[in-house]
Amino acid sequence: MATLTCRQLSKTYPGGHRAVEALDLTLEAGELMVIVGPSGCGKSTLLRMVAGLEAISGGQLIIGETVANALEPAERGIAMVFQNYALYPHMSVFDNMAYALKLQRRPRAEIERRVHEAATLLGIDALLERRPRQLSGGQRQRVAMGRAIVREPTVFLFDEPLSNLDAALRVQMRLEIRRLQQRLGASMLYVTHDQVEAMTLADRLVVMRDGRIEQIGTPMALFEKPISCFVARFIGSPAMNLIPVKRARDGAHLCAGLQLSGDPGAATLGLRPEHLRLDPQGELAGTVEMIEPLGVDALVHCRLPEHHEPLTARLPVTALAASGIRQQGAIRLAVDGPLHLFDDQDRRLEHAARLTPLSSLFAV
Amino acid sequence: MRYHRPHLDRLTHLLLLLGVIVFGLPLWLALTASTHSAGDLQSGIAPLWFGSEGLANYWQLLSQPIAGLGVSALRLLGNSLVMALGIAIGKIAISLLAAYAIVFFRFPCRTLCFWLIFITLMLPVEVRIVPTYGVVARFGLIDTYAGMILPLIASATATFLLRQSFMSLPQELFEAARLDGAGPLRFLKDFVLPLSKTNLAALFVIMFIYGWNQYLWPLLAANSPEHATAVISLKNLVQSTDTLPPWQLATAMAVMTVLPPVAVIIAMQRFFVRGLTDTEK
Amino acid sequence: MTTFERHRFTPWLLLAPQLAIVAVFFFWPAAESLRQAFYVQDAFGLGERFVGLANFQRVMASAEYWQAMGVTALFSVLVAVGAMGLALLLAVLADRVMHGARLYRILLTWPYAIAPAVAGLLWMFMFDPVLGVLTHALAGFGIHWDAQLNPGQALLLVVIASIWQQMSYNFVFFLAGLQMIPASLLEAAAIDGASPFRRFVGITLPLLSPTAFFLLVMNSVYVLFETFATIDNTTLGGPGGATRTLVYKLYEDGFVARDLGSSSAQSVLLMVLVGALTFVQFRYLERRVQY
Repeated sequence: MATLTCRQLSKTYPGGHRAVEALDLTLEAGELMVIVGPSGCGKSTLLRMVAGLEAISGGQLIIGETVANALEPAERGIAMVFQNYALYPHMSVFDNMAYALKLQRRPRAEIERRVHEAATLLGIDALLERRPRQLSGGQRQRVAMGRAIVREPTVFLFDEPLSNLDAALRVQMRLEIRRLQQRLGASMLYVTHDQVEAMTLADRLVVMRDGRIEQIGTPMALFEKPISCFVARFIGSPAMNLIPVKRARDGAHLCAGLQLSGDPGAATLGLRPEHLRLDPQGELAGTVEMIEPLGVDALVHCRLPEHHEPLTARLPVTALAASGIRQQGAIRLAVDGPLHLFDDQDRRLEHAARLTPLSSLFAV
Repeated sequence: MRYHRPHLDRLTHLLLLLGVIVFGLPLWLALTASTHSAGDLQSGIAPLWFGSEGLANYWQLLSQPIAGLGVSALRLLGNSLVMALGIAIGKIAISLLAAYAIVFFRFPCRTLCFWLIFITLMLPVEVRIVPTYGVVARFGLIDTYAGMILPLIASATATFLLRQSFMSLPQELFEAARLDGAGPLRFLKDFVLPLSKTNLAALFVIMFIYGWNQYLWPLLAANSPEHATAVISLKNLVQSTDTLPPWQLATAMAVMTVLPPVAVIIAMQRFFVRGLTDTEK
Repeated sequence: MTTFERHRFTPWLLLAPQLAIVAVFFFWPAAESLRQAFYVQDAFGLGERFVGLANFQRVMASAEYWQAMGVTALFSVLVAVGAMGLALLLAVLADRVMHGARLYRILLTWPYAIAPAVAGLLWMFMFDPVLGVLTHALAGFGIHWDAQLNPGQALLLVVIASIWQQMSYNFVFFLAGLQMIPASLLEAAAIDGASPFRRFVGITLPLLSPTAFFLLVMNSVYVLFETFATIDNTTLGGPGGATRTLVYKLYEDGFVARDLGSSSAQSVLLMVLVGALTFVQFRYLERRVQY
């Protein structure tokens, strides 16, 4: 059952800039959908149109059963958690959470009950009398979520809610949001520019680019079958290696000094850093430019012949030590996973392909 | 960067004290003179210390009509209070609403409205004093409190400061409140007012002093003694008689006239400094 | 920026009081000034006649007007120099002290609350021919003080009263300006080997220059308008026009002599003068924002 549907939703600013273009989207009940993309891709505009903070220029927005295009923000059955929390500085935590209910003229007892329930759920019931400035970053974040939960909305909207927290807290709050969402069975639309956050949280992931949806699907589907170079580069950390494919005069496809067989139209070859392994017989030969140890694994940036950008491989530190790989030394890598092929429009090609050393071509 | 140099520190304090004394002296002398009898002040030099007639002088001013004016000091101070409060509250009230409209709404001619108000910023009532008198007279407002107050609140200082202050409120606060269902008047009452308390207090201090100390306009607009203010009454005390001025009464009146604004400035020092530096810059 | 975009009439309702008051009590009189500056009223105040620029020519040709202009200019310069000099000195001192800074600030800012009219009266008392403390002190030096007869002394009297009243205003701004100078800047200069005096001249003063310029304009505006009350309570513009400023003359011509045409022309000239001051101020502040 859909709780939120966008039909051909558009936003054109005065002056002609089109922030969101004819966007179709359906949020299922109980689903956590993450919208991700670089800054300026229109993800925040989309969220703010849903919230009613931004006027809709075209298309239809349906929340629950009703067309919400012309509804006031408060009438839409949505609640929003802001990037900087937007807590009311002059009100206590209790009043912050109760404000919307007070405006709805709910009975005092009901307000008390709902605020206390939400506070207990979030573990902030001891803070209800405090002012926002007396709270830590994580506590403010919780109050902001509490303020949303109290309203029992049809859809929760999150606008980069974790970007003001430090790294450790961000991981913790990420888990907590997920747990909360599953416990409440809530429908959530979550905007972020952090792809790790996007991957770990999402039931479905929407990658936006220039006001349009580039790809939509489960995080693993996007990781395994990115529909374009843009998605390939955006999903997965470190990013996928993209290597241009050149066409030789004899019709062979050359890529970083190797022969690419099996596909006629590929313009770019994608290799995930995780899908490369050390192999003395490996087809990829290069020079190590830099090694970034991460703990168990290390990121090895290598320079390949006829390719300007370094190729990144994620390799176990133990294996690196065992093979005596050093900076500025030689390295050989084998591909141990799928090859991603993209055409000259950067769109995905679904052909099987193989990389072989040029010399073996002559041997055949 | 401050060094600890005992000699320099002592000199600093000495000079500051000297400044404090020099600036305090005129008021001190007025204070002491106001406690002497007319006879004490007939000859010689103004006394540096208090006399015994203080209560009598102040009581005479407050309880009896002042010669040449026909009303008591109590009435004059009351008029000053009405005018100062009227100007402070009136100016803040209309400016608050106007600044709120300009910051939180979009409507045709918004910029034009802003400039129409803004242009009044630097042209005080004195430059258009003659026709202002004409306009106020045409409305029959000469010798009324409204007539004394209204032309002085036709200025944009407060609007300008409040506009700045509203624009510095975080945008997300406004959005969160709208999501919670707050309409324009709600938002004004629940958010803008409580969050602008400091600025409003600062503005009040400045405007109260401004209103209390007005001279030229009340001189014209308050034709009869019934509406005269404390500040404009002083001239009567000093210059109405051909003989020696009754300095013991003039100084007593001066002391009573400066007391309320000085009290406000000392009690609300923090807001005063802020109000002054904000309204002008 | 999001706004209450659906409310069409609310903003007008909110703006109405201020717009109405500004229209009636600012624009109407200002327009009236402008119009009357080109008309002459007949002797009975019944009819009026368009005279073009004749009123302006009359004002410009009058020696009294130019005298008032000169008095205002001299007055402004003296008050600016006196009030700013004293304020700067006291602000630097008050910025230096660690103990009692708050108390000093209060004891040096309260004269702001004194009405210019009262300031005039208090200094009249100080300089009273019979009782005045300062009159007696000056007599000790062999100086005969009589502000009622001596034009120079009359001007000095209102200048001193104005400096006394206006110093605190300048003090507040200089102190705020001093406190806004980052300590690291002066520390860096100290490490570079600059003496306290060099640091004051080389760093503090240039950083205070926007404040000083702003105060220069504000002191001129003060002298133009606020000193009316000081003068009206002390010298009444005399003797011989020695303390008659532009606004005092405007008042005399408009309300005492009832010469509407001339006073309106003077109003317009005054508006132009203040407008120019404002313009210069904005231009200057705009140029100096990088500080």
